[in-house]
Amino acid sequence: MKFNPYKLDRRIIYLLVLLALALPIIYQYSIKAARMKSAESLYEVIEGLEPGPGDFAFIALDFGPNTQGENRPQAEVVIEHLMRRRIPVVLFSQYALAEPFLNDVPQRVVDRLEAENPGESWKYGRDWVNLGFRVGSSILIQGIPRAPDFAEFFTRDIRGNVLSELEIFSSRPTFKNLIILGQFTGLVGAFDTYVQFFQSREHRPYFTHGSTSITIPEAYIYLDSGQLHGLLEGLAGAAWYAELLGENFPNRLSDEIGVINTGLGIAQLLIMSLVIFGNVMALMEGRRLGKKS
Amino acid sequence: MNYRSFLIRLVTFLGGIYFFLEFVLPSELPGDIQFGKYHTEISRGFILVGAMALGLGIINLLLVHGSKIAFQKKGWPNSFALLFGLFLMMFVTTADWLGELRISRTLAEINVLREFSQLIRKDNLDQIVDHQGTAERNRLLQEALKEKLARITKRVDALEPGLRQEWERDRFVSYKELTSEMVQRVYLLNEGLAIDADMLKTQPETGQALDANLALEAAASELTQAYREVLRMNYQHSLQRRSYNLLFHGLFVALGSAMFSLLAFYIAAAAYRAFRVKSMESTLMMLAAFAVMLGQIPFGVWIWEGLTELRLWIMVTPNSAASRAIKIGAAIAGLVMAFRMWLSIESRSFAERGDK
Repeated sequence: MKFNPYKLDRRIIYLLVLLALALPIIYQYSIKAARMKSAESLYEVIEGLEPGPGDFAFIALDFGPNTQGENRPQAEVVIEHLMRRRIPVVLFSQYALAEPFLNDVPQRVVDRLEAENPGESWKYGRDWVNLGFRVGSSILIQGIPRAPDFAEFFTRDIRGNVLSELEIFSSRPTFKNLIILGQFTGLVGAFDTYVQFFQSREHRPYFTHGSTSITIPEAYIYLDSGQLHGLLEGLAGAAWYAELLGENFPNRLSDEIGVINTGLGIAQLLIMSLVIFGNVMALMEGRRLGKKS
Repeated sequence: MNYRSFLIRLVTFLGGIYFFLEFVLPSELPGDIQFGKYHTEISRGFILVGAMALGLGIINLLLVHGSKIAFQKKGWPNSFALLFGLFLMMFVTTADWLGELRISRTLAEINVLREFSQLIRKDNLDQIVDHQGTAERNRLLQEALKEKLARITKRVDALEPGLRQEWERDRFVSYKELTSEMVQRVYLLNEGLAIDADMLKTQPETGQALDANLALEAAASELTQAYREVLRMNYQHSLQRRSYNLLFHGLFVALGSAMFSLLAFYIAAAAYRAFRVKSMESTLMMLAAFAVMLGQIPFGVWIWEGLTELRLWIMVTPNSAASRAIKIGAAIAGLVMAFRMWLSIESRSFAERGDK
């Protein structure tokens, strides 16, 4: 293969991307994430929560394997923060492919927290519960705020337990006890449904959201209007949130988010370099062809 | 118009108007009329209809790809792979679901005992005399709990030799701690029940009988928790759970992630080959893209600390304005479309086909 700077072979580009993403992971190289004000807002919202008896956080993991690279770290850091604050977490999804993550994500957080804090425990039924994937889309979302009894509305969790028998729902909470919504998705328009319907005349919970890089522009509309109280923008948002957790909980065990975010940053630098390089080469080739003719 | 198309149009119209009115009307109308009184039930009905669409999807897949395989049309091996994957996943997921359900049903047996303890207390407080007496019922409850406890202990003892090697191979070091903790908890519970036996000797009329009953209920809760952990620990190593993990986590998640990650490679190649600065607009677009990208990566601050602020301004001001414009335009188009569907203008072709 002859090297031609004017027409760089795509396989070389693929190799460069692979190296940019893989090398930081192989060498565990990590640098501090860029500051994200939207992530800071989310952190402050959770930090400022004052949960009463029966209050809980409602976490909607509306993502599948395709966007887990961005959405999963977001969900993990937010659930971790909620669990550190001992706010019970209720997990749910409208997306069928999210079903395994509804169990894995909180379980991974629990394992981390229990390893970090020997003697403390976070238990299923008391600290978190998995409602599983539910069909119904916007009709279901509309129904939740109107349901007089949250446990009665969903009836059972994914494991078949009657919700009213679990400790989280022992005081028979209503929609008013749902103090914060955390929704994580890469699907366009999925968050809109919550903005439109996830509130009653008497109560509107805090709205927080984790979006993939593609859906960030859409989320900013709601952040700007005040309908969204905190936002995690792609992996960069999760990485800055992890930095905040690390600053405020010094014993926090290190995670992979910073490393992957560094790799992603290098890949983005590479893309910018390729854009510049491609334009310079096109300009030079144009001049060369112009001289020949 | 035949009766079928008329019925479809009527249901569509009524469904549309119901959800519209339910959303805009106050919860209570004059004359004590509650328009949304049965909203939960109606919503559940619509959710059921939505769930049926999943079944229709499967039928459709079978028809399209089944015929391809039956007549060996072009690309039939792909159709075979699709249907094979579908049935395999359905089979494994159903097996996994049944396994989970079996655990829940087993636990429900102990929950019945907990409910029984509550009933004993209630009967005692309500002074219902048509039963064997609180002390005798407490004794029966304790016997039942002891029987369950013996079963759990047996399960725990049976767990150890079989799973130890596997867990150690998987470097799951907490196994030993978990099992010993479980046995300890179960035996502590046994001691607790033995102590309660003294309390059970008391007369039903005294408060001590109720205290014993409360202790038994707490024991039942503890037993449920312990049993749940034993069953789950066992289930994690069952064939159906392992098959599910292999297919979903080992295969599907990896394939899904790989498909999406390919985008990174295509974007990089497209950035080099296609992104050409030939006009004022493309220059502006490139500069904005660079500012946003540099503002969110860790290296951006090395170039200029103000990049994060610049990025934020781009996202909040020009981006939000443009996104809102797109959103409003799409919403108006969506509204027009919704009206057409509500009035069944859009489904005319469907109705005409029915008329034939």
